[in-house]
Amino acid sequence: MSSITLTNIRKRFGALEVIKGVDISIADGEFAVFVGPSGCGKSTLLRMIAGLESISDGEFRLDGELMNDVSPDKRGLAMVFQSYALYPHMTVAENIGFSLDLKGVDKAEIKRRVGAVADKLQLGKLLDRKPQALSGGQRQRVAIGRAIIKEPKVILFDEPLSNLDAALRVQMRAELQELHRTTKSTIIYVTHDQVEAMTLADRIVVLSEGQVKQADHPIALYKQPDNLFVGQFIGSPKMNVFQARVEAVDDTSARIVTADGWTVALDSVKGLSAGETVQLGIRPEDLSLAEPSNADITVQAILSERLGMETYVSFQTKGEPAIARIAGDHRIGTGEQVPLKINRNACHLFDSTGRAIRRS
Amino acid sequence: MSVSFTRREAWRNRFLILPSVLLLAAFVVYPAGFAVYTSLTNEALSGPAAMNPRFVGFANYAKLLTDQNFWRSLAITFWFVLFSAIIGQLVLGLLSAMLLNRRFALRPLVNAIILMPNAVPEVVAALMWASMLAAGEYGTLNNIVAWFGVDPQRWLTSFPLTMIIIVNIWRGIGFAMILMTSGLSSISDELYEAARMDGANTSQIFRRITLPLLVPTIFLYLLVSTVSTIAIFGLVFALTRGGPAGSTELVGIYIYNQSFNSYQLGYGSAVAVVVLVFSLLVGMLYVRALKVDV
Repeated sequence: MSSITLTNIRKRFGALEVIKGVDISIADGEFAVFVGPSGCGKSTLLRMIAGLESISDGEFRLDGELMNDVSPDKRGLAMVFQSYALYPHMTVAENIGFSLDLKGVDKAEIKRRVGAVADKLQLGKLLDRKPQALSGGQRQRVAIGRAIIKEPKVILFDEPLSNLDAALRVQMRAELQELHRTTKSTIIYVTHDQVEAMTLADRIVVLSEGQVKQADHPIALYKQPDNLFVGQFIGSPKMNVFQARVEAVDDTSARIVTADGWTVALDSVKGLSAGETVQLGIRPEDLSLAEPSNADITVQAILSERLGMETYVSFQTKGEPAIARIAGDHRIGTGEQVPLKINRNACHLFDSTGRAIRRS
Repeated sequence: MSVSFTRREAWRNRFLILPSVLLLAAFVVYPAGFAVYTSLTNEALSGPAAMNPRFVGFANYAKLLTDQNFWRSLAITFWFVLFSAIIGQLVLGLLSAMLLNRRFALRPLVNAIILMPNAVPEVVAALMWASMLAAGEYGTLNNIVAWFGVDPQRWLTSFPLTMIIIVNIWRGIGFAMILMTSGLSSISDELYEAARMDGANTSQIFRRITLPLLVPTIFLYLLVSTVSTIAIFGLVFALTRGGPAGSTELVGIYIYNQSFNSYQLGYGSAVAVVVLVFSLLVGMLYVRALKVDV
């Protein structure tokens, strides 16, 4: 069992507070991903869990045990660094076995365990090579090998795929999922890439400016973001946001009018009053091409990007340009009028401060 | 690329290195060649040989083999290089580089104290130490040790070799520190963090991570400092002139004394040529030993 609880964790560098009271709990065997834009504090938080940064305030418990002042090697954690941090003067085998060697485990035992880990990661033939003679993906696997040989309670990953090319990233993502499935260890993974977060995580923790914006299952974050920040951070291309006003309400529905004069009637909305200012969030995939006769809105295209299986159409609004993600290949010229249909059930509403207005 | 372009490029490159080639030829290759030639004659500054220098073949070199003073000066040079450059400057330079890698209040001051000796002209440094080590109760060091109840010492007479070793260490730590600092800064912080996560303590991190990764820098330092310390002259000459009784007569001073005090230019040149060959061998040894990129 290895569950993690962070309670009101804070980190200050001098007068600057970078982690501002974070509460997170991660269950045993869970794959948790910390995600957020650069500078949101996700790496700092990971390093505090690792013990490489001190905890200014709050409690970090591992299996109920207070870890704030325990040294990094005594916490029972392993970490995979962004640059892999392989020891350049040691062979692959020495890199993987270094922690055991430091503990004074005997040579034959180290060799056996290194061999087992290497087989698991397909590094068997590379054991005598130095890191500089390895490819990016192989280095990554050595770094993982160095972590799992310690049989840690928790493995920490700090943006491990950011140095790999796109194709290798997809492959390593699959290997990481496989690793999680076979080792069943608790994993905390830091990334700024929301696709990585969505595909790997059991639970995503979205961070911004040192605070947790929302922590939940990826699909829950996608479907029910707590706030505008999460709504726009999860999903690609990002959610369109339109400034709007509530025109009329009855018991269970509301009629919203955007700054562009588009009227959208939404069901299952409660607690709004007429005249209130709201923000309407519509994901690009919830806008689809319609016949002119049954279109909800007609927009003027600025640019269309054809990806083959789908087409991204950017269009002008009174606010920022918005984007529609239309299934299939369409040739749409700049300036062309495009009739669109809105998937009303998937629209999101936020109040003027950006907090979600839940639809039941 | 066209043939004419490549040819033009080749000519341009030759033209660019021409100034260096001319200077090296005039001030290094020609004197060295002339020293080799002189070493094969009985050229002198006084006496009949000064009027009519003769070609004597390898006679000077034969004389070297049986010259006790030459062997003694080689031995002194060996100990001087070993204790001042290889051990003293390296160890203290590495320690100060590691110390100054951390942040602490007096860091700029400590930095200046270590680097200053390297910036002082060597004769000035020697004269400072002459005052420091002066015999009698007015010597600075004697004044200092007097606080601990130690009688005034004749430092340069009683412990001459030890004293010049200490002076040379003092002068050379700065250079060693600069090189070691650059070596240390090339080791990424993540490696240290990974080692901490792997359970290494401070001394294990030093022995298993820092030191092995510094080996190329250390060899580069040894190459430069060994060769330059073998050739040291001014600092020690200004302090002791090789005395007392030849006990600090490093090979550089021995060459000077033979050439300009005993007036035997041919013989002095032969010693110089032997030292040159010796330095080249040491240099090649280091370069071979670790394929240092020089």
